[in-house]
Amino acid sequence: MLARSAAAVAAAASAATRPSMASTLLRAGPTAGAPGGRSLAAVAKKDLMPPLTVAVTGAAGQIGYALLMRIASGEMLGKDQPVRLQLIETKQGMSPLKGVMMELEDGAFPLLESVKGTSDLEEGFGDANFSLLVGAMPRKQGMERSDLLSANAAIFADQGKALSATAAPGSRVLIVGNPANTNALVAAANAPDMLPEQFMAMTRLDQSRAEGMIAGKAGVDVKDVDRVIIWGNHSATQYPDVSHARIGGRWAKDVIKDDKWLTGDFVSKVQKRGAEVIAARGASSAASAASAAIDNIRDVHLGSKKWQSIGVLSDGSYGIGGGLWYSVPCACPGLHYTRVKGLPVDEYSASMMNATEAELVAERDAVRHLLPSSYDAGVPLQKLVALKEAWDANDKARIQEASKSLPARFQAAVKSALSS
Amino acid sequence: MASNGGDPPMVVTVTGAAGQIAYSLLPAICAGRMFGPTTRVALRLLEIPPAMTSLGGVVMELTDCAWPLLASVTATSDAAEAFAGANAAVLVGAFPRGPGMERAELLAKNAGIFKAQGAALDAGAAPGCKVVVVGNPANTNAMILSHFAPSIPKKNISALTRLDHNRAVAAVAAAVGAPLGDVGGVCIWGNHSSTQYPDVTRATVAGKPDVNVVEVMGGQQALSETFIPTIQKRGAAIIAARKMSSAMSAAKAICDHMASWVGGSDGATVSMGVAGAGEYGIEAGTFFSYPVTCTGGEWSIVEGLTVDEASRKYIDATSQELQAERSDALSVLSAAAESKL
Repeated sequence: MLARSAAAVAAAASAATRPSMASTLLRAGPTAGAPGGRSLAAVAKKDLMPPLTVAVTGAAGQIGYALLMRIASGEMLGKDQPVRLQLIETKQGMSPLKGVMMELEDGAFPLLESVKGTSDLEEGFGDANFSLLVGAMPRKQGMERSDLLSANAAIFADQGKALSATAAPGSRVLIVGNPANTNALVAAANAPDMLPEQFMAMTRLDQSRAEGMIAGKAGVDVKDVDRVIIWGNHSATQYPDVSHARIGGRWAKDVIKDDKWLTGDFVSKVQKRGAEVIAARGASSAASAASAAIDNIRDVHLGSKKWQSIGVLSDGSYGIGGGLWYSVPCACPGLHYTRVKGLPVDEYSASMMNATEAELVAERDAVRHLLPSSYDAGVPLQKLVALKEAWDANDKARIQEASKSLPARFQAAVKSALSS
Repeated sequence: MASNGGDPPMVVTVTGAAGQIAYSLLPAICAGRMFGPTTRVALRLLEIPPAMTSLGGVVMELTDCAWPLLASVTATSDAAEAFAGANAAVLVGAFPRGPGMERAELLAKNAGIFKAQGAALDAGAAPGCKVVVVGNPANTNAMILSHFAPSIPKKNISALTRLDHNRAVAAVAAAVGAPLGDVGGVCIWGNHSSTQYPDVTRATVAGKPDVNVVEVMGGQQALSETFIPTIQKRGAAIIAARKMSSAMSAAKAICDHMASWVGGSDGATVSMGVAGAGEYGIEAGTFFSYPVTCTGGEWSIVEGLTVDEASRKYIDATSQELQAERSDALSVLSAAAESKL
């Protein structure tokens, strides 16, 4: 594992990470589908945009129920953006799904152009511009973690294939169902006609939870909290990092002045928040999970001034191994996201980031046998660095050693370069 | 939580706050779908003591959503604390009808709840507080509430029939093949119950003045046999399909109701259960759903509409049911007054 430290990574948390385009949240003003008779007296059809299609799996479940009303209201994609909903359920879920579809009718949502319900994946994802993969196999009593991973890998492999076959070009996929990061990896690995960047694993809920707790501790409004980062896996190893967080423009650490809490209770509280909600409600956090999904898609699509934590395919930044869906801070200028790179990482952060990476590697290894044979895990950065150093030193023995652990195509290239 | 400078937030009290409808409603309020995208809200959540742990979980989730518009959340089982300074109140919580329960018993149980909440509103609500009663029987619960909140002008208390209204509009839009926003002139008369009268005799489709909606929907007979009973019994149909009552669509209707009331209905006719002054032959002071328009924060009943013979029958039937509920409620209240409950 590459040890990360402030000395090793250039500190450049300024111009390079600022969004390159002006970005705005939903513009203020009367919202279509809400206040006053506007909910029933139209925003004139000519003022509306061509519809976008949103597919949701697990649509008859708790999170789906909390999601659908808000998507239909225009909260996710904008007040002038009509949506077509395609609701996907298992065969057993089709009956309760009918009731949900009846309620969507009864909701009289002017932006909701159509609703379709199906248990056929290709039909459900057909022409989808956004797909929210909420449905997943829950952990049953006595189930080992590896069983859970395998069961879900099968589900998400099928969904990746269907998405690749029928979703709209350039569509975005948000994986909510757990284990989100590895499910995203499996789906992407099975989607040959899609780019890995199109698949996002949701860690926004953890970020919002962390922001809420920071705001509470500091006694400020949550909207004044920015740049709280969730690194790694959406699991108990996630690392909620406030070393770059700001409150009203000041460093959060200077406002809160309690490093012990920030590296102790705060971290474990965020990590265990899901269980805390279940204990109180007797049910898992559907409303807040739905809210995070809405926020995630909205901010990527419409842009945001704040950093967003998203689980994305690692590109070697921060020394994270290749081929993992690892949550990092992203800037959202509108229509896409870009990783925030080059943040300085202190010793404590490095150890936390390494730990969550190790878990993700183990999860990937547990499902590797279910990935297509064409799957390429990517090459960890330090191995390429070792190869380059050996090459620069012109040390044949070291070169052979370094290329031994690389994929076949690298070995072939090294062999051919050495012999020329 | 500290509140930033600028306008003070709208204090919104929601009862039955740990229930299903509230779970759909609270995120909608926090997202600005009730008072607009720039109005901050301070939530006061009221529940009965057994539900306070669950309510704690709801409060956790609201914090976990990191809403920019949410200034503060207070969870309490104390009505006085919940209603203090309220600018708006959504009374979702009510005693549910058990199997075999007679109306009189249901009214008696709810009278207790709405008496206590009425008193708390009377004592603590901010001037101009707008109240919508959702918990059933909504119309009569609104009447009871109003009885115990004499300092709150009757016009500021309402019962929710917007869900029925939205259902009717959606059905008309589907039948005529028009977008929702193009359908106007639909209204709900009467009690939020299976005697409600969804009236499409004056329905219009924007841009299509020649379309006779009643004809397109199969004429008066089809309305009586199909459309009207479907709307009247839609709640039960949802329960049959979902195994739970409608939460999402109810929450949407509540937001629409308040948004129209506070923000205006933009000339459109909507439906609200309000205390009229004798319009359309309905006894004054009955909380009855009428076609209304809203402007400047006030509703007004659309007057002078032609009510045909068939409609009159429906209106009379639902009015009779309401009078019966009203007299049951009044006798419950006077019995309570006598035994000093």
